[in-house]
Amino acid sequence: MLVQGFVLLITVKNTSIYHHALEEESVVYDAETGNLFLIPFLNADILALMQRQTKHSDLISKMTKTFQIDRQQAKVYLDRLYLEYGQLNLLN
Amino acid sequence: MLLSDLSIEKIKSGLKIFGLGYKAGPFNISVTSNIPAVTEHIRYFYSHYNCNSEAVFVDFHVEVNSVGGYRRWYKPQVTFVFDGYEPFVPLPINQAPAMFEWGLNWAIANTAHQYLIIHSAIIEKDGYGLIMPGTPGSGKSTLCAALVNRGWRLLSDEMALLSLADGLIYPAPRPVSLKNKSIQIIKDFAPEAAFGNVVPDTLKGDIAHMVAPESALLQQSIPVKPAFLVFPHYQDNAEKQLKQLSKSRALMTLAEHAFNFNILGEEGFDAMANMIDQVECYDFTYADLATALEGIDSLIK
Repeated sequence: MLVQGFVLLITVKNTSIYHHALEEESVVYDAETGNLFLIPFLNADILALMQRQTKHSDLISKMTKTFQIDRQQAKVYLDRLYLEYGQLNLLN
Repeated sequence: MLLSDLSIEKIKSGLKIFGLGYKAGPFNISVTSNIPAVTEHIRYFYSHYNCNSEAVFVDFHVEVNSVGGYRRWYKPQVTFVFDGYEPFVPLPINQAPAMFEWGLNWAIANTAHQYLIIHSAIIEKDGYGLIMPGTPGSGKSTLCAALVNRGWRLLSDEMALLSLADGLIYPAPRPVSLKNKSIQIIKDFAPEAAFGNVVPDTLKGDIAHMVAPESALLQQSIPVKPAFLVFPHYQDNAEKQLKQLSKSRALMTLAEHAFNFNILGEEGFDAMANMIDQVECYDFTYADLATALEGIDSLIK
């Protein structure tokens, strides 16, 4: 993980995530395919944790705090993220 | 020694036999040609460039020669050869100088991977580097030509060379290529600028080159720190609008303008992300040169 000023460049699973602290969107770069994705910053944060194989329960806790939602809603949302980012080949 | 210090005989023999060597920014170029129009092009547009010494490593060996056989008499053509390879189909011989410039762009974009190469104009004023990527019709080259005739330094009208080593942009000033209506617009705007002949009916329409200002050549070894990234959009009758663009969106768009982004992979992404972080990003809509120049100049005030 490389932190520079306002910028966070995270490298996990052959992807890099660019985020500027004052912006709501992040750019995800998949080094295997060369594809770029523009995704909401908060989702990018969760994606980075998913790529690091963070425990499911920890992810749910993180999401309830981040998105101000209950655990059931967080589970549903997380399943959607796993599906979506899995289809985009952004997860192991 | 400058090319203008060489006698015409020396230039001709260099072009025909050994390759005429000169330096453009960080690149040492050697060109061979048997076409008189290319000789004239080099003498006119490159007279203030430094000659290569004989011992120097040449980055680009290019040949621009007429096609032999019956083609010498029937619709004569020109070929471009780079390191023994012909990347393009031959073109009509009157396009030989343009083919030389296009071919050299191609050679740089396809081999100089010590840089992230962005398809854009790059200019500088008061130490502020301004990158202007542009799709065809956006007015990138027209704006660039106008600005370098109003105090901005030309680094390139065609490609920004972002160094992977230090994040600076290196100049490689060469003639500015203008198309169709832009030719007359800039001739009217800057009557003091020197132009070559208009070559009609090329693949890009009518084209003409403008001589790179001498100030650009004098500072061609001085890189610049990028400060602004501006995506120009020419639109008839539009009101001038300089709209800040999010860095993430600018990064997505800029990647589409990089020639070797996919070749460099993660290194290219990191270089681009770091550059984006340093610059202010804008979408710039304009309808005429006068207001466009006001808009660009306002960035550094």
